[in-house]
Amino acid sequence: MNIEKIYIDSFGKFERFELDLGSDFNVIYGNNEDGKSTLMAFVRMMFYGDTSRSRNNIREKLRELYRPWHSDRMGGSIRFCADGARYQLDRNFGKTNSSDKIKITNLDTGADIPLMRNQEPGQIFFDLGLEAFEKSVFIGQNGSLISGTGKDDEIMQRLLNLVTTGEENTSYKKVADKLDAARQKLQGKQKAKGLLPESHSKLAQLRTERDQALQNEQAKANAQFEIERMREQQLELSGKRDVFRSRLKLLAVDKEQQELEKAIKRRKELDQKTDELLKLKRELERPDIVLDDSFIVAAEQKINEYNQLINNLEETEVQQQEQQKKLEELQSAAIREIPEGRTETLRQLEKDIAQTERERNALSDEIDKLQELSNLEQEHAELTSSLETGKTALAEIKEATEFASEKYEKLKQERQDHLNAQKGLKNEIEEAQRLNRQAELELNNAQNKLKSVSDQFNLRISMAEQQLEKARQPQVYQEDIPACREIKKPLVAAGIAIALLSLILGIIVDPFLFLLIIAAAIILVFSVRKVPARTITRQSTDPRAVEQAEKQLQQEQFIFNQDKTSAEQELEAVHVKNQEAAAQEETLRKQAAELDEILAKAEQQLESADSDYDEKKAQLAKLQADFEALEKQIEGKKASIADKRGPIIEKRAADDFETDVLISENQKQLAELNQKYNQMAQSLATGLADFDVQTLEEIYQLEKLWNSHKLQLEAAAKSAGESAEKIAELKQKLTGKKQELLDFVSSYKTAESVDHVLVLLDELEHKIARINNLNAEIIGYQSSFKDTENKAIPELEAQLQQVSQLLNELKASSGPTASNETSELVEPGDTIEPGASSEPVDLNTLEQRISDLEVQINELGGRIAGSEGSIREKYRKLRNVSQIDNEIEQMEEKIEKISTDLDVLGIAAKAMEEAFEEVQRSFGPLVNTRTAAIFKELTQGKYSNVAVSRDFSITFENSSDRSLREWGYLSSGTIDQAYLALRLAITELVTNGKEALPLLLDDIFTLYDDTRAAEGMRFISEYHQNGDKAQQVLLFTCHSRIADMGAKLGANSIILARDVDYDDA
Amino acid sequence: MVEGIKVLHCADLHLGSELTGAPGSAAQRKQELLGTFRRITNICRDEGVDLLLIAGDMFEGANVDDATVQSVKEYLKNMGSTVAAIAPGNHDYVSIDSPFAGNNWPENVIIFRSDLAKVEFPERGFAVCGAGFTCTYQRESLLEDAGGLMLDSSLINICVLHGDLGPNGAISDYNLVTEAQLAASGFSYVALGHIHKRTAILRTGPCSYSYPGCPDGRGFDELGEKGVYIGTVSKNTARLEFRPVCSRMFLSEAIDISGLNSEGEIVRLVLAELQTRYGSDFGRHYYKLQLTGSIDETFVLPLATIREVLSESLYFVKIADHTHIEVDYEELAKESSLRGIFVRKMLERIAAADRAEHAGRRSQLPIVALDTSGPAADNSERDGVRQITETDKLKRALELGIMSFDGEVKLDEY
Repeated sequence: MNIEKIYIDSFGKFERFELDLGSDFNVIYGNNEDGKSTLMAFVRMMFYGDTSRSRNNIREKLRELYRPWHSDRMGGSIRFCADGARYQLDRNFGKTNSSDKIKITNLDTGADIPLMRNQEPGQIFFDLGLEAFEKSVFIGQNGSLISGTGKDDEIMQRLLNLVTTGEENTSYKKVADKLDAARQKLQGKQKAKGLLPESHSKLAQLRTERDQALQNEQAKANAQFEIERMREQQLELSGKRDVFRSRLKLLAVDKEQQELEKAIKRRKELDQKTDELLKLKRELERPDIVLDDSFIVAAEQKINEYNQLINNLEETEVQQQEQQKKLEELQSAAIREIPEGRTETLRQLEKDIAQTERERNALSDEIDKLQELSNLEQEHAELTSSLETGKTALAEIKEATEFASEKYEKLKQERQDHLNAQKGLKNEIEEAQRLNRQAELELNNAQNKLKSVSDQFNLRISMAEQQLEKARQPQVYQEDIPACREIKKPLVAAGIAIALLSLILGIIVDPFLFLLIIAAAIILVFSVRKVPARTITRQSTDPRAVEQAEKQLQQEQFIFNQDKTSAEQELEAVHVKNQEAAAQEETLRKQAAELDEILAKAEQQLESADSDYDEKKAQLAKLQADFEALEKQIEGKKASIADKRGPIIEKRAADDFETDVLISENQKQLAELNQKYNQMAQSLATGLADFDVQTLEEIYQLEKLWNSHKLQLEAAAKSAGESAEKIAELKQKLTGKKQELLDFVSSYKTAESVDHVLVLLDELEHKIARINNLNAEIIGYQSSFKDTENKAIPELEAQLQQVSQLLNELKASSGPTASNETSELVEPGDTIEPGASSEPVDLNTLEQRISDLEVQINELGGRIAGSEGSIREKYRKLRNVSQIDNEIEQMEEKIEKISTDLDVLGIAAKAMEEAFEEVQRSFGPLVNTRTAAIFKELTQGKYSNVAVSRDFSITFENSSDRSLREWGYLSSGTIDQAYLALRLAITELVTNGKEALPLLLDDIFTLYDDTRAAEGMRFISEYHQNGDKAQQVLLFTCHSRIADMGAKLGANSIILARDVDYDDA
Repeated sequence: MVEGIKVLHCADLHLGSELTGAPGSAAQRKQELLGTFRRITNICRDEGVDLLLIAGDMFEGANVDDATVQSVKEYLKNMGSTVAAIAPGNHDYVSIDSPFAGNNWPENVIIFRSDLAKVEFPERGFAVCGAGFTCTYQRESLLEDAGGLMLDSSLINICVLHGDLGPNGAISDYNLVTEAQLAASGFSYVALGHIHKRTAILRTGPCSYSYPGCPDGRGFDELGEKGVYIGTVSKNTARLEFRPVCSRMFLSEAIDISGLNSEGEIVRLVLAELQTRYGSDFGRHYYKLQLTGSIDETFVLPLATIREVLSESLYFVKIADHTHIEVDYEELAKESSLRGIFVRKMLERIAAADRAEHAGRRSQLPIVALDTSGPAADNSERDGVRQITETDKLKRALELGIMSFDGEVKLDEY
């Protein structure tokens, strides 16, 4: 933005003043009071107006301060270009901003730029509010006067606010978050476990594991101690076992010696037995037969057969004698003989009698059955007759039932008629009741009406009377009397009287008395009194009102009498109607009562007819049931008759027979049979008498006895003959068998008799038994020899000699301690014979001892192996203390490293926080950086760094020695440089990224020495050209040296003439 | 009387350790450690070593697997005439479940299972003594009983021991060994174990002693070339030399990549630099690389890609970005910005701390060499672990603070 031209129509000291400005560095020189500040104020007010309201300080009220000296008007115009367009701003100042007349014209288009309410042109074109404008591009002397006193702190504070530290905040948050994230990774946050807690946790686990490993180590040491103890025990037991073993060997050799001696003895016995056996065997040797146990068995078999034959012979002889004796007894027995065929005749007769008996019984049965049939037929006839009677009765009762039904229906109809009549009458009564109620209601209404009319008229009459009474009473009312002059008549009269009296007395008495006229005049004056406006209360009776009230009363009474009469008539009429309605209702009620009686009778009759009908129906039902039962019975009888007749018809082969006829025929046959039966019974009785018996059974018994006796006789004769034959045969066999036996035994020795045979056999048996015994003994001897003993006697004797020698050697080697050792071997539980304590323990005990010891040694070995194995297995996969210690060491190093990093991160975070606090305390890095850059240039590199804090103190770093200096230690010129740098920096920041705004500088180098001022001017001249945005600078100064410097630097110099009448110019 | 005997001194093999914290394939590394031990026994056999001294922590612990123990026994058995003397340490102390518990060790192996003991080989002119840990913490000095050994002065007496070398009166959980004890012990050479970083061959009085360090590193806390001491010990001297036997080295290397701004350039530079430093087979080692120097502000270091490409040439590599954007803090401090003020404040603090530390350092006595502050179960490779000063912390805080302006705050791996 460039201000091209300023035209002041009238403002402060200026009238019709024009100022053309260059687009870059303009130095506007004028002495004090030449209007530099006025020009700056004009620009400011043109763009922003003035809203200051200070009553006291006129310098703060710009409208007042720059009120034109020569004109009432105040205003002007500024031409400028902005954003590539040219504009003219015209403004006529009123009393306030709102009364200012502002016009902005786009000179390129001629269009006016509208302003919104309360909007100032500066806000559009500078894009800054007034305050921002004043804090940035508008650098008045105030700005340059910021000094060590800190007077302008307020302005600086506002400046500060322009620049936020938002970016730095963001930057800090990011940085702090990253550092924090790294810390969290290490130490964790909430649920997330960090590396450090994890490592601590692992370390704790490792320490626990290490403690356990130490315990394990101790446990292993204990186990090892125990195993060592067991090993010692095992060793001790092994020693003991070895002693036992040597003793065992001694005993074994001793035993071997004894056994050898025994073996030699047994061998000799064996030889004797063998000789004897050979001798016996030779004695029994035969060329053709072997005399052994089988020979004896065969001989004994033959003897048995011989003896058996003798026994049989003896038994047969006894039998034969008994049979002979029995035959003789049978022959002498007395048994009656029964001729053949006699019993057969009697038996036939008995059969015929039985047949006749059966026939007779059959006939009797048939007669009985026929008798039953006859009875059934009779019953059937009777039932059929009953059925006929039943039929008649059933017809009668049906008829009676129908009659009862008809009667019931008739009565039911009658009752319905009565009910209908009753219902009609009931409706009539209800109607009569309704009418009656209505009549009563009307009567009530009429009475009420009468009463109402009375009440109403009484009230109206009473009101009329009250009205009359009221009219007759005097009325009190207020009357307003306006203000007036009241004449007090008595005083007037008195005045006149005195006047007259005066006149009279003056004339009469003394002219002096005319003076009384004065008194009269005074009285007259006082007689006219000024009365103010007032209200007075008055009373009066209005005769018209009384009359009107009386008329009203009379009228009310007349109307009342009329209405009352009408109402009373109406009441009378309604009363009559009411009575009629009551009479009608009464009549109807009587009729209804009569009808009720009739209906009650009809109900009784109907009930009676109903019960009669029900009774008849029941009778009919019962009769029908009986009838049906009878029919069933008849059917039953018919069936029975048919059943009975069936067999008879079948028997007779004809179905037409008369039962009674048949009965008589059968009875005749029965009589014939009875006769036949009696004849046969007589014949049988005669036959039985012949044998002196009562029954046919007895004859049978006699017959059986005779037949049996005859058979016994025949058998006995036959047995006796057979036995005699058998005895002869047996005697012959016996002789043969004896010879056979003698021949058989002769193979051994010749026998003379069977008894001799027995003696010889016994002798042979003894010899054979001896041979067998000898054989068994020889086998026993032979098997009792061990392999080493199975030798000839000389060999055995040589062996014995060797063993004896060995034994002697062993005994010699074990020496005298042997017995001691042996005694050691005796265990507390051993049984030791008295006096044999030094005797060696027997072999078995020793072997048992050794075996026990072996068991114990093995058991210990097993326990040791088991213990070692279990320990190896138990700790096989476990790490030892040193291994864990290594890991603990590594973990501790890790923890230390993590902790160090945590410390480091903490340090970084803390320093970062402090740095951020410093950032927050300062104007912010951007301001600092730019201020420092400008300041460095201004001071030509003397000071390279500044830090502006929020309390406006600026710290300087000396480029040469890097020392930091507080502003209080510097000259005010340097401080001004610093603050100029700060203002320029802020301006840059405020307009950052926008079109460069013109800088308005009001004698900013006032306090600078020449050198520093020259540096400042050079800086400004260069500064406005810096960068790609050329900036217009308007430097106002009252110092010619500054103007000269500006001229030298090629600035557009403008000189404001002192006291020039611009109006004229 | 022999002039001298040939010995090989090693310690702290930690065979069988699972190396859970170690990078790369743990199983392979375990086998490699066993391989290193095999190489040691082969040297003994091939070079006619009289005495192999194993000064403790041969095994990582009692939980070592049977296969490893079996291999160790075989290697020891196949050493020819070499006698092996083992002094169990805090890791493989003698216990019921220890690999040393059984008696089935080869005949040429001497295991010192508890208090100081002596085994003489008069025909070979030496006696070997030693003592073993029987629990983790051996707080009583095992060398205290040296007087009771009645050493034969005609023999070369050598001792093997696991322990912590320290001054008189110091307290250690791991068998304190003092110079005074060594000087008075009567041993020509004391083979020590426990400290994983090797010492020189030291001498006190007539006694020489040393720590050979571990023969193979197991992590980035055991950096550089590792091996054993081998040489001749005579009555009055010990002429031993360091011999590298490690399969791979753990190396922490800083490489300046200033001015480079592409992944390819960086990879090429790193490989060339490592080849220069570690020869043609540099690829077999474990590397922890710190890329340092200043890089362009606009260049985002592609760490993952660089690591991936380097992994093709290197057995194991991890990379840390220690580069920085060129910052003139003095100049930055002039800025009237949050950053400028932060830098100024930090520089002020650094200067103050630095002054205080200088003043403090002048008034303090030199720091005692041995740090007995806490348990060091082994590998106490604490050289180069400098105490972090306040100034260091402040400088780091300044770096992190500046980092927070430029991007993420990158912390080192733990």
